[in-house]
Amino acid sequence: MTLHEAARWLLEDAGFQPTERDLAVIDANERVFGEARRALLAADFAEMGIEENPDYSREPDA
Amino acid sequence: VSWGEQAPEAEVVRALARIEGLNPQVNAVIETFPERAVAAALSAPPGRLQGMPVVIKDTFALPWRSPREGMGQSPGIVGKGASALYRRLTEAGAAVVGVGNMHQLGIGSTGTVSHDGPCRNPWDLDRVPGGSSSGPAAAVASGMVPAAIGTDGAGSIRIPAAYCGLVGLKPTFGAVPREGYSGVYSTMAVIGPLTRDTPRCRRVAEALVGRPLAAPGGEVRIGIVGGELWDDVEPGVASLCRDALDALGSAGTRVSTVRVDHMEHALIASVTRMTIDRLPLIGPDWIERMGDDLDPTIRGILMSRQLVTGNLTSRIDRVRAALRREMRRVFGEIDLLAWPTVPGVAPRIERPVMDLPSGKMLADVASVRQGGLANLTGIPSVSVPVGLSEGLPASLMFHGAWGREDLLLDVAERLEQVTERQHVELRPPVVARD
Repeated sequence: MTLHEAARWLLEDAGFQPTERDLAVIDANERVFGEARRALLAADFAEMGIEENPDYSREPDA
Repeated sequence: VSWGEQAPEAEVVRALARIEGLNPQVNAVIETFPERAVAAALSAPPGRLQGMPVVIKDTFALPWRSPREGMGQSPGIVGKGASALYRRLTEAGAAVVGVGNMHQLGIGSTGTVSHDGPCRNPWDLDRVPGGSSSGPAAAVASGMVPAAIGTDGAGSIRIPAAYCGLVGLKPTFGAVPREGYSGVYSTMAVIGPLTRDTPRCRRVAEALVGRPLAAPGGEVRIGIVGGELWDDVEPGVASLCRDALDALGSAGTRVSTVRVDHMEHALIASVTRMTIDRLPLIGPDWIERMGDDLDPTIRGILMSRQLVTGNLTSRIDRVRAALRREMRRVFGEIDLLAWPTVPGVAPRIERPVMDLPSGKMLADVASVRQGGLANLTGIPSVSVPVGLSEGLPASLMFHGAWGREDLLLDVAERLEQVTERQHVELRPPVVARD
């Protein structure tokens, strides 16, 4: 399945009606951010937790 | 732009005349409110901004108008009403004279995609003013008004401030109330001022946050981070930023190199978190309702955002938590972080790309790479002009710990003083002269 086919299927399944232009933008987005996205997905986050009660207006708890 | 020389109503009338004279070239202001603004000036209380004419980004509810966010119709996130921003401004004595153009839905850093047409940079009308707070920045840079209000979800105050040679403050997350702001759903976006210099920025910021922002003084430790934030920058811009840090050395600051871990994921985390925040508002029915009013590229971006996976989302929140812990650690060692606000000067409207040492990069990507950390972690940040590179403004950005807007403004003002205000006194070719 190509990226276009997968994107079209996912969007149509969610009720959207993607145009060819929409799919071209999705393609461009993949070219710009794909590498960073894959690097993030490949990173080892085993030791990295999340905040218990995130409050972005102040520093996180120790 | 002077302010405070005349009676409040005369200040407002002068601003409206400047908008009328300059806006055909710059396209910074999409709507003015002459009668309401004069009435507001006549009844302005003796606050910190008494009689100050301001332009606000088209993202705030006004008692008589819903925001359009760069579209032809209201996207329907907030309706009419007295937004918290409107109340803070009017309680301080300011008069909202108009609404500023903006990049549609805030999805872009150039300010060129708008139902009302592209906003232009007063330094070069063929170049972008930056965005998404494009109109507010161009209005101040061209001298239409002494101050404007923007919003910043991934650099949208600081980027146009940099391209237009202004001071732009992104306050700490939550420091300015967001009721009646169309980005009220965002975990990244904040409201802040754009001005010509730091004293005025401080004055407006104090009105917005509702507290004094004076730092106690003393030595300030500034950290610089190795890597692309400094190295992948146009040489002329990097040089001016280094000169500014050198100048600060004689003004009670000490510069050292610091390490910030996980920065390699900051860009993708910023971009994607911004994406996720808006997702609940963007459904098939909404897309259908907006129809041709949505720019085709913005529509495509909104479609691409529907495809963010759960795995990516959960990792982004881990990066965010890790970077927030890093900021807590770093601000235990130093007081401020500094790097260029944007890695190049304002690009041309027809080609919004930067030629960086690493190669060509979309201005949108390059700008968010520099600015997204502050939004992701919630910390405040300020952009200050440091001179001209090839005739166009370059700017340095400082980040501080949560709640330290006072220190950011203090160092920005020290820089103005040691450079004898030469950077903030620069004027673009398209500017009010009366």
